[in-house]
Amino acid sequence: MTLLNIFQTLFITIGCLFFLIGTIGLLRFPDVLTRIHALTKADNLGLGFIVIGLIPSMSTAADIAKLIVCWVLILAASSVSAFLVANQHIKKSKEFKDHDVV
Amino acid sequence: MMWFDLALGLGLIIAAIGVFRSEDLFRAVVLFVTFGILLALTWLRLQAPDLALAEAAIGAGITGVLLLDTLGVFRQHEQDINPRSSSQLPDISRQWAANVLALIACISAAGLLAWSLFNTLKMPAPHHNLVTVVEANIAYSGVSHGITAVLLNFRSYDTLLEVAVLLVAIVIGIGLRERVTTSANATSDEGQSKLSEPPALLTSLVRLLLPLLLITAIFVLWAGSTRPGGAFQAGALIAAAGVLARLGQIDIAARVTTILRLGLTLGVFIFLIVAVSPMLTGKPFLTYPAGWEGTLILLIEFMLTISIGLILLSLFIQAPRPRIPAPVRNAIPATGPNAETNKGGDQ
Repeated sequence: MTLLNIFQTLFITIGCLFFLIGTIGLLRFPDVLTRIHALTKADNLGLGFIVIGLIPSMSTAADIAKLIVCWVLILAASSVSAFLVANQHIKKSKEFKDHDVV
Repeated sequence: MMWFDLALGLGLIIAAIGVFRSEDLFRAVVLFVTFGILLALTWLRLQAPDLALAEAAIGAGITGVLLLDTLGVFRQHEQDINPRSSSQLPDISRQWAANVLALIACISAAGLLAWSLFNTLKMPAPHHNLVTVVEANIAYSGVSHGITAVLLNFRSYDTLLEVAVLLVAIVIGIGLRERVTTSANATSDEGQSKLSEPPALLTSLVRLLLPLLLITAIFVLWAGSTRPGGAFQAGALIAAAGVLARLGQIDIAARVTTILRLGLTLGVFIFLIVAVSPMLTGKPFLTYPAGWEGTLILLIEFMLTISIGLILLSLFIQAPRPRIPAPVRNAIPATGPNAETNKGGDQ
């Protein structure tokens, strides 16, 4: 086992751990906002670590670029969808409160 | 890898059971999308990347979007549509009958499967291995990817029919939509269907993603002749781009114009022209002239991509939506003479 292999295993394991923690958070956290927090951690950090761990296994620069593009796209999509869900949640709960007061 | 495959297979079955067993429709739709993604992974493990691409794009992606959209319409009308809210006491004898029928159906399906499996095992080995036949003839097909050769040359008839089915689906969809719009009060839906302004973050992401999606679609289309890819997958990507644009409230294909109709039919039209024209020189239906196979396949695939993309997108956008003021609409046919006074009151 070379040093590179150890490095890869370490990074991929850390990435998987983030996914595990994110999933536990999604299941156990009490409300929408904290759950989003858990979920985006998994997407951003977990996938990032896995991508870094996989980069040494790629043979060409194009493959590396594709992996990184995948990560950036998922990062963008997950952060925007997290924002949208949170936005909707805040709007809904505000409406509910207004309704309650009236 | 065996454990992974085992987990994948079990996950597929569990997701499928979950889709049917879940009481909450939203959960069922999410599980259906999960099922699609697991199925795509399964195809990948079975070394069928073409099927994996199609399943991920069409099965999980576009179908998921359509189902979620339908669910959104249901939610708007929860009071008058919700079938489960009619909280009558469950009729026990009826439920028993349903259970017995389901059991009989299950047993007969299992029997049929067992019978066909038994027969398959008894069958003699096929005389020719289809994979080797395709590989032996691929030089004549005009493309170097086996799947594309089968889909657009050796068995192009099937592909033609598939696209024709899609076209029929969207024609019916648009037809229903037109009936609904003419019967509903046009001015009142304008105000109701207007959504609130989308968040700036979403619009900027859509702007970023649209060109990327289109480039990827063209790449997938081009890759189809040498690698996994092709018209259906590229079309699904275009449809996904259109759906995203729609969510960012950029109007694409919002009205049924002549250009949209042309785009919807373009694929089948060109395919049919290419299929029929050899008959003028006495050759059979769907034979490509020698030397022109590659070019013609690419032409057909390009046109098909446009049409499939527009068809899938139109199924999303043009699908007939029940109008918002549903109680009023329901009241009109129910009460004959009162409908007149109702209308008068509105004006």
